Amino acid sequence: MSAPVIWIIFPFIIGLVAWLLRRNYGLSYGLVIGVSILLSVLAGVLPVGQIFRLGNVELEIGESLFFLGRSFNLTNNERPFLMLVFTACSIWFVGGLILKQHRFFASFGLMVVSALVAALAVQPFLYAALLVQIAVLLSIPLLVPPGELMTVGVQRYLIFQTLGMPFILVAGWVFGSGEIGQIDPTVLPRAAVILGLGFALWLAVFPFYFWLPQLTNQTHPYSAGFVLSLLPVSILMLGLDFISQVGWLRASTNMFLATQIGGILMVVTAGIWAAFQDDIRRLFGYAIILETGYALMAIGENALSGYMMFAASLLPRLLGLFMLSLSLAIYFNRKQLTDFDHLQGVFQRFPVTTIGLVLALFSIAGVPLLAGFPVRLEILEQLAARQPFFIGWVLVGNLGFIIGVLRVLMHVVQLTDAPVEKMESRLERVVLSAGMIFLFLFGIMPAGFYEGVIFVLRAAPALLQAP
Amino acid sequence: MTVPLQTLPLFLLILGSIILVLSLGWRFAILALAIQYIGVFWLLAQALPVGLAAVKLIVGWMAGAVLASSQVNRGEELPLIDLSGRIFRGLVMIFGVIVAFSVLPAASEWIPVDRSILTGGLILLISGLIQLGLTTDPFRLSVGLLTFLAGFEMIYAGLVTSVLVIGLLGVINLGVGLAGAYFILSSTPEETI
Repeated sequence: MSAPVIWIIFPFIIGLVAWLLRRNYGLSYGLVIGVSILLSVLAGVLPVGQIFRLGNVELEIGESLFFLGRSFNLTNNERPFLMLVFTACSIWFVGGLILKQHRFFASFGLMVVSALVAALAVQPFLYAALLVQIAVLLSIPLLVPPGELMTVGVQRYLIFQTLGMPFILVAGWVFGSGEIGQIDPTVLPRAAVILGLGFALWLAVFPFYFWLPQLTNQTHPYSAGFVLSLLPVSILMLGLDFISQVGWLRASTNMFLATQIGGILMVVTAGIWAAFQDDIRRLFGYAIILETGYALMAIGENALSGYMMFAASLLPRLLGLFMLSLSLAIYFNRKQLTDFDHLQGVFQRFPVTTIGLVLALFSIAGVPLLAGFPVRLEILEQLAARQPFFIGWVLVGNLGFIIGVLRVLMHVVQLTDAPVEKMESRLERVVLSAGMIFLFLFGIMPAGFYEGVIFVLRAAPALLQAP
Repeated sequence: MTVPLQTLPLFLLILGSIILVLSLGWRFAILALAIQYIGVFWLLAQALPVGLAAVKLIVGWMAGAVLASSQVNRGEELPLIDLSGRIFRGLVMIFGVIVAFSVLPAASEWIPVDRSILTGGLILLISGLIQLGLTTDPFRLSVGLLTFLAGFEMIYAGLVTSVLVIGLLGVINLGVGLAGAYFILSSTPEETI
């Protein structure tokens, strides 16, 4: 038994089985949720590459799985990330069950996650691009459930993710073709540009992000939220893995400057556009762009503190987007439109959902006392110290996003005189309330939560040596 | 006058690309896709073992067959566009072929691949991008993605000849075909919860 079998092949097979059992909705979801929780617990307790005792039996979980001459490696360093991903999955799948998501959601969701874990595990790393593309293809039935028409947003999503793959493969070919010292030095900067283009297409970096608000506006918010939470996080981790493995990239100040400028452009443009949005679901798209922008700004520091801030931002990011998706999905399932012309009385019909939605948006905007604030503050402080010229622009972007959220707040609190009934279920209220408590807990006591999640950086060990 | 053997598959690729860009009926599109994959196989067989080159051909045809099956079930032709639109599309594709030949010297400087393979790959890459830019139809979108991927695969096969890469790219091609068929058929009522 090896770690890749446990965290890649096993969940993929379970996803496949859950898909075969899709007519039995409860069993299919129960299986996927149970396995996700199990894999999360195993990532927490099961040592990899060491002999341990289980009763009278001595067991060892191997680190590698060899396949067609290539290897998939999962070591103890990857366990914190596996724990984070499978815990997040468990929560998303439980939410999916409560919301009665379509029957492909859980099964394909688990298969997507197993493909993303495989992308992180495969060596040489150039193969990761192919596995990410497989994850993207597996996410299509998640985004377009049976019985619904495909939207332009999903089309653009598929096109842009597919266009990104060749760039990564070609860059991977250059960087992985031998010792860096033996490669023609004029080729390396070109390869770095190609690598950057590939990641820009994958992560919807400015100016390749116009499809993202389209996608969130045209697909079910919960499915879109799941894909757009886990996919960019995994791709960012993959990026860190690339940087960690290629010393030339770590030493390239221009690449990190370009990364940081890309992040700043995302925050500025997404923030300004967010201020003019008249639909909460489009604002959701800009929230994702803003989050990725901040992540790139943190990575662009090329310092241990920046990488730590990126890792620390994963929890508030995942929680904020989960709450936002959940709230919007509750509206969506009750046929509540989310454009500003149709929000009157929404607070009376969905009180807890509306509070959850506004808090999630404020958290993403970095408002004090909420989960996003401590990380945003730290990233802005670091940016101000190193790039004082840009800080004003970032604050303008952030202000734009806050204006967008305030506009949402102004519309959702408009009351109606007509008789209304509360439309949320008890379970939905419980999950939303728990999420809100965590949004505050992360914001008030960040250290306790962040110390745990920072260990995900072990997956890219060379970055821990950064100054 | 003798025509070099390598130019014949290039003609097949250009012919297939022009037919695809012209947006004729779906049967023509599938036929053009099949012709394209013959061209891809022909060129790649010069650089790869015939068995590996044949994988590209078979996978491409299978992806085309999956897409075709989704059209057969619908039982209708794709909407035809007008003559002026076709002339425009044809000219765009001819311009695309000219661009492919123009960038060839620069591309061949730092992509160490056989020139005919690189030419074919560039033609398909550009043809795929043109198709993706000119349509929102799920069928055309899938064919465009397959064309783009075929172009990239040709160039990449000259750089990396790993069995795993060829296998995974095959899975991706089939996945694009299946995703396209799913896009087209997902709205069928009996599949709703």
